[in-house]
Amino acid sequence: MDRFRARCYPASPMRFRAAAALVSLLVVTGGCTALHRVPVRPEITSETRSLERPGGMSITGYQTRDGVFHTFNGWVSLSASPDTLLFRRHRSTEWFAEPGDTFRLARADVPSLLYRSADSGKSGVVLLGVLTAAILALVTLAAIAFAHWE
Amino acid sequence: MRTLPALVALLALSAAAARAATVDDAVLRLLPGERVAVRTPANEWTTGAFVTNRNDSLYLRRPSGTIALSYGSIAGLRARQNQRREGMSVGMLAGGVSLAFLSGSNSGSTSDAIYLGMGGIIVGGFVGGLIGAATHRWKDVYDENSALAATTPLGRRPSQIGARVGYVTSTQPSNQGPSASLIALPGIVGLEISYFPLPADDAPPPTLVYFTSDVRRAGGTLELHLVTHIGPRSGPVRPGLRLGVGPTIDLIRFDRYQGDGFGNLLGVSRVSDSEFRLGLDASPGVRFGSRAWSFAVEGTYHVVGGRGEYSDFYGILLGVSRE
Repeated sequence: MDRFRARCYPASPMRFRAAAALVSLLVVTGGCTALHRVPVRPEITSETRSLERPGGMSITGYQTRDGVFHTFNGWVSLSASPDTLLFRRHRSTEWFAEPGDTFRLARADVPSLLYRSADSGKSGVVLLGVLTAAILALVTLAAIAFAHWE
Repeated sequence: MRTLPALVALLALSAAAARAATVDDAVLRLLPGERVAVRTPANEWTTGAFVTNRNDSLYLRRPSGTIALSYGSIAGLRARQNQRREGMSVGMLAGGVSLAFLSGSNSGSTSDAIYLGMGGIIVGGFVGGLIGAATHRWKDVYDENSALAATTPLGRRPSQIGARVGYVTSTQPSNQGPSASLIALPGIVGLEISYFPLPADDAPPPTLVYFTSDVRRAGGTLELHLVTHIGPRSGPVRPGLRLGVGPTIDLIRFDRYQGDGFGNLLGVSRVSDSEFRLGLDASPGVRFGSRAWSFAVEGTYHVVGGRGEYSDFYGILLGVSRE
C-alpha cells in the first residue's frame, strides 16, 4: 500500500484539478456522436475498410435485404470468406458468449450498416456553450465584485 | 488572429458537399426517420419520412400512409439537414469581427479588441450553432442530371486560397511601401488579411530638437476584410474582380524626440496605439494558368473611412492562387 501511495502521490492538486477539468471537457464534448449509414458493396471502399481489420468495424445496427433495420451493438468484420460478414456483440468475449452473440450473414444479404461517429459540429457547439457559460459566470462575478467594491 | 486559419478551415469544411453518383448509393445512406424529398421525372416533389428500402424501391411514411417509389421514378433526392456547422461558422465570424470592431472603435486599444473579439468568437459561435441547429435546409443527395454530368469532367466551382505581395502608394508621398495579403475563399464569400504601410509624417526625423513635443508618426495598417470574387474560375486566362469590406486597423507608432532645450537630442521614446476604421477595397486582376496553382497580377484600390487626406491608396499586387 505504501508503495502504491508513493507511486500515485506526486501529481500536485493543481495539476490534478487541471487534468480533471480537461478530462471532463473531453468527456462532455467527445460524447457527441451522430448516426451514419454506409452501403455494403461487393468491393471494399474507404468507408468499409475497417471490415478487413481483425477487430472489425464498430456498429449500432445493420439492414437486411428484406428492408428491416436490426439494432446490434457490436463489431462486424469479414470472416474467413470475403463473402461472409461475422457479427460479434460487444458483451461477448473470447471465453464468454451467449447463443446469438456471434453469427454470420452473407455479405449480399446486408445492404447497409449503421454506425456512430464523433459529431464535430455538435461537439463544437457544446464546447462553445461550456466556454460561454464560463465567460458569463466570470463577467457576472466581476460585475458583483465591482458593485461591492464601489 | 490564430483562430482565423481554424475558422477558414471550418468554413471550407462546411462548404464541402458530396452528391451520390447513383440513386441506390444515395438511398443506402438515408437514416430511418430522416425527412426526405423525392423529385419525380415530371418534376413533382414528394416529401415524407424515410422508412426503408427494398427491391429497388424507396418507402416513405406520409400522413396518408406509407408509399413506395421505385428507383426508376426518382429523378432527384433531397435530405433535410440542420445548419449547425454553418451557423457556428457565421456566428464565430460575426461575433468576433463585430465585437472586436466595436471595442476597438470605443477604446482604441488593440488588446481590448483582441480579448473582446475572442469572447465574440466563442459566444457568437455558440449562439450561431444553436440557431443553425434549429434551422433546416434541403440538401441535394442525388440528382439525375448531376449524376449524368459526373461522367463527363466539367469545371466545378472550386475554393480558392492565395497569397499576394506588392507595393502601394497614394497621392500623399509618405503613404507608400510594400504590402502583403492572404486570401481564403471557401465559397462565394471568404476572408482576406492584408498589411499595408500607414501614412507617415512627411517630415524626416529631426536632427535639432528643442522641445519634447517633436513627434513623428509611422506604422502599418492591418485589414481583415470579407471578400468576394467575381469572374470565371476556369480557363487559362481568368480576369476577375475581388471586392472586400471590413475592419481596418491602423497600428500607429509615435516616436517622441526629446531634446535638452538647446537643440541637442537626448533620446527617442516610442508609444504605440491603434485605431479601428471601416475600409473598402476593389482589386481587378488576371490569373494565369489552368493547373491547381496559378499566377496572379492585380491592381488594388483601398478606401479607409475617417482618415482625412490619407483616406485612399492604390497599388499593384503579384502572387499565386490555388484552386
